[in-house]
Amino acid sequence: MFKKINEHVAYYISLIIIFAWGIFLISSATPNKQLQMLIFVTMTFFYVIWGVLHHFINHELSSKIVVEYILIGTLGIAIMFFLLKGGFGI
Amino acid sequence: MKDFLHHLFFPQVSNNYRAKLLHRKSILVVIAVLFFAGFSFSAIRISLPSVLGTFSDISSEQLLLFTNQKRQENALPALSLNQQLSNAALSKADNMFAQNYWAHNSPDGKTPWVFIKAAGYNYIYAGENLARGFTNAQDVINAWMASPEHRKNMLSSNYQSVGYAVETGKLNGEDTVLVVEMLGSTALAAAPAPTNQLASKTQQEIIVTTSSPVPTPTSTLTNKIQNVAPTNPLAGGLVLDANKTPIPKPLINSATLSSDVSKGVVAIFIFALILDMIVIERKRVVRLVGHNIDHVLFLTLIMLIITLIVRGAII
Repeated sequence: MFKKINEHVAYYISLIIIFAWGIFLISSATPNKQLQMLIFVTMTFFYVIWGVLHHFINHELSSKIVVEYILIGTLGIAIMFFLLKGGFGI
Repeated sequence: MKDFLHHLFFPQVSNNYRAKLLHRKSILVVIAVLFFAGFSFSAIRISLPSVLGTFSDISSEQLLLFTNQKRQENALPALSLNQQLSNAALSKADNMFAQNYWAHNSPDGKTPWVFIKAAGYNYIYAGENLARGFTNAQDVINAWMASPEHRKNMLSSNYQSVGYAVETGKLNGEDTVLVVEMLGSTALAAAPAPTNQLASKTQQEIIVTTSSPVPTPTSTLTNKIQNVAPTNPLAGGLVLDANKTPIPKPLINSATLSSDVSKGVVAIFIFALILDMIVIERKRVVRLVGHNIDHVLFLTLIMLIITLIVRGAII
């Protein structure tokens, strides 16, 4: 795991920057939960793009991998949807 | 059961060396269940509010107790609960829900002082703290104490009395619990101070309590002069809704339940991804899949965001 991170340290730094920026924006949007959801969906979109680009640049991209990133991203959106719709009636 | 869990989480021959939970079909099922559950919870909240809904365990007595504990720790006299300030807080909370705003001043320009005066409390000093989305009184007090401006309000020696309102309603499209704290005094509580200092401090007290727009010193002074004359408790179009029917407390707090379930789902996936990653690295199995570490980072981020979203807010 750590070997993989060391090999791709620049990619992970860029991912952490995207996430840190997203957390900052979501925190700034408090307590507007609709805006927070919108920021999260945007961030998820960037995560999927980042994952696909990462694999593309390293010559290991396949349609299965694209679908996997889209599914994990959609899972994240489904979790947030459940939290906000079910919990707060958004 | 053991075999099933092994199949679900542990990469082995039966699941083609990828935890079954991480297969595309399994993820799709979880996504479908979460969307369905979100809509179902929402429908239950509307049709059966006594079963699933928003509530908190916050009471005025607890808020007063914890506030006075903080004041005693800072060698300040305890505040007494004042019914007029509580009525003012209730009016303010109802007004916030009715006009759908989260601010010290209403969209039509009503300041907190309007509610206090309308409740018949002739203040010399007055202040307001607001909180939303908290489930217990201790968290509300801790959040206010952590904010320098709110802390200054709570620990001011100028206040003698306090009133609270804890109301549940829909604000900006979200079911939430609103806590309004109105602080005040009808006489000079602190030792006499030079006039200029007093004027400055009075202004500061009110600036502290109001985010925007800040009342000018003139309006503060006007408020004080107006308070000398007797005022009609229900003036200014404010109606204290004394006959309001209390909403029954639901059996399950939907915010807590959905937050716990969401965190649980995230934790299960993080566990499955890490286990999958460790086992595959040890067995040196070659697979064409995405990097588990990417997904672990993404899901950890979601965990942080859930914590951020469900915590309360103060102004």
